[in-house]
Amino acid sequence: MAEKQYLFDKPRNVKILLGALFCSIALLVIIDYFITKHPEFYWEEYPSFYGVYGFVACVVLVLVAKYILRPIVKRREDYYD
Amino acid sequence: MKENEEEVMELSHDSVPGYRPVFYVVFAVTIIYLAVVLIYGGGGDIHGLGPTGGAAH
Amino acid sequence: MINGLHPAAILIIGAFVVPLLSGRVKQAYLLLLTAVAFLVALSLSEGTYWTLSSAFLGHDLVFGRVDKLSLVFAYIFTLMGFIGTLFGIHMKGDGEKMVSLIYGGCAVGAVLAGDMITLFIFLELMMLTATYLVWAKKDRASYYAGFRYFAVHALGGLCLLAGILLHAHETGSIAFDYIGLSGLSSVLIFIGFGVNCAFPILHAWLPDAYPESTITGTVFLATFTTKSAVYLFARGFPGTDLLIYIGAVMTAFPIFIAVIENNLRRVLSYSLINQVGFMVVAVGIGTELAINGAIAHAFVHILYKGLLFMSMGSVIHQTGKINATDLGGLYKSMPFTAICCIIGAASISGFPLTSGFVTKSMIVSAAGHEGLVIVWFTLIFAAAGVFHHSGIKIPFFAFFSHDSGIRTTEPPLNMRVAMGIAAFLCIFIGVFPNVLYSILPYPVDYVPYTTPHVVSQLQLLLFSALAFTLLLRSGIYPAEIRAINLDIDWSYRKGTRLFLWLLYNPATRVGQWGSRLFFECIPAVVTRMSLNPLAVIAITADRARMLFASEQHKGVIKARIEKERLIYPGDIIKSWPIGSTVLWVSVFLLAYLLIYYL
Repeated sequence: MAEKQYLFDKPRNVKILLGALFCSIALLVIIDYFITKHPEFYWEEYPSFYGVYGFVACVVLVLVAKYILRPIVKRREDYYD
Repeated sequence: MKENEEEVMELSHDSVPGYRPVFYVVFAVTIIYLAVVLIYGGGGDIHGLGPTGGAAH
Repeated sequence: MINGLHPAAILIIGAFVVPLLSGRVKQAYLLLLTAVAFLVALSLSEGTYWTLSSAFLGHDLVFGRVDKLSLVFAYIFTLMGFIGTLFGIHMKGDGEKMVSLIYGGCAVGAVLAGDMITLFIFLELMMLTATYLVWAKKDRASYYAGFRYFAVHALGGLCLLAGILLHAHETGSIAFDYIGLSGLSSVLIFIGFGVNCAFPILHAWLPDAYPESTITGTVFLATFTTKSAVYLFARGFPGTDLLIYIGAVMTAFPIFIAVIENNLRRVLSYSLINQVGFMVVAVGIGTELAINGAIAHAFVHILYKGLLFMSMGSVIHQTGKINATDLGGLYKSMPFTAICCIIGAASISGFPLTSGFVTKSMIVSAAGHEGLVIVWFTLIFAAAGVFHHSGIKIPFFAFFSHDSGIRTTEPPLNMRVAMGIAAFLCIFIGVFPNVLYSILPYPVDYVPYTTPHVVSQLQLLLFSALAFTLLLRSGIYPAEIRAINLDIDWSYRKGTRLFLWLLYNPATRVGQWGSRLFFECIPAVVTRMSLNPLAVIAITADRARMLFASEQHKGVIKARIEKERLIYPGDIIKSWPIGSTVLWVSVFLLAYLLIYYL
């Protein structure tokens, strides 16, 4: 197919995007060490608490949805017909 | 690339080699870190739960 | 100040002119009408207007209670009315356009209503017009979904009406002010509002009906009903602890279903419940910061949720598809729509410099200030989760991901302009939050842009993106499957069948038996016995005697019963002397007298 090449058809651009994501995460983890926080709770003072919590939250969310919820609620599209 | 005329029933996501071990490592590290922070973080002080007072207006 | 004109009246009365016009004139009229309604709402100043004295059973009807709380909602409802109208202005069909205007007008009327009767009437009109909007897609699925929507909301409306009447009876006033959760009437009103607010268990109508409406219908539906309910709670039940926990559940449970849902508009419907959950938590906390947060979040939520539904509407408009399994790679032919969708997605996720950041953080901070540990953790979890399913999943599966091979064009100009306005406002409010803060009910001394706050929020979001990337690339991320997911609506979609079966089978039999017993057997026996009650008594007495009689007496009594039965009813006059009739009559009169005095 002689179709036009689009932005993310090139693997290189996808790599750049992912690289940018990983670099900004690394940068945030480093910055987090040096800023003064005003926490409401003690755990907020720990370095990168929000990031770690967000990561675990998302993984748990996906795993629960995939392995627990989906087997219970998934039905064929014509289930109600 | 599949060019099926009929509707796709399932779109699974193929794994890219090398990512799965990275995922396991990161998940293990983050969950241990979180557990340590939440269980031992308050210095074992249960009253650490709640506003620290410093920022409470 | 144009106090002669009520913005709701402009929209509702103006709607009836629509069928008289056609072509460009109609389009210009629609835009002008909604723009005027917005400007009139902007020009309102605080006070109480449009009062009908003693109009309802001696009570005043107040159509214009204009204060800071109701004004914010009047602004955003009329603004979104304008944007939504612009989005769908090229579509055919006057009915849908008229009904959308009436629906929006009723929503404005409901938030400006100062008494419960006016409020109730506007809410019921909203229910009817919203049902019409669900039906407007005119296919089988929307037909049934519309009926379910109507049934659930009719029940909610009945609950609300009962609550309002009881409340009016208890307090002697129909004014709609702080109610608070105490007593049956307030519980009924609470549940009535809760149906509109999509409380857990009462929520299933929302993801059931919204994805079945037309592309513009969904934009309006997502704007008015749930957010007017947030206003009603902020007015009637601020600081009610129960709301904190209801709201926390609302933020958490929909995101699990949203992750595995295939229909992208249904994903957005679940994330709508999640976002309304944030507002409900804030209303439940009830501090000045929290109420400000709830109202501000409702304001920006209408814009970015409208934007997301508009971008998905554009996808349907151009491709006719909405399932994640059918889409992908659309950024190649719809880059503008993709960018608008990403801006909406960034806003709902709360990226710094977008509108969600400056409002959601108020709610999370308010929960932190109050030391609500579990609620706080739930909200952060939900904030990460909403980024996961709305922020990434929606744009990624529609516009990127696996290329579906669909090549299309951008939607028409008016749709692009409508999305552009909404996207601009999402960023504008994110960059200049004080514009929004200045119209909130309480003075705001909240500063969203502090270094730790920006860093922690970015961390939360980028680590969530990292989780998505790693899960997707390691093949763990759940596959998009052409399937549906059950929700509470199963109970009444399948439950009604069970109900009908019970109705047709056992219930019919019980009914037949009952009707034979009560309408045939008992009347026949009573009629026969009343022919000669004295003889009946004599027979009964003889039968009783049979039980205690000795053996030789039994034969005698048996013969007598045979004879009595044979001649029944016999000669009534003979066995029924005048004296005893008079005696019985006086006994009955005495009984009446006694019952009367007791």
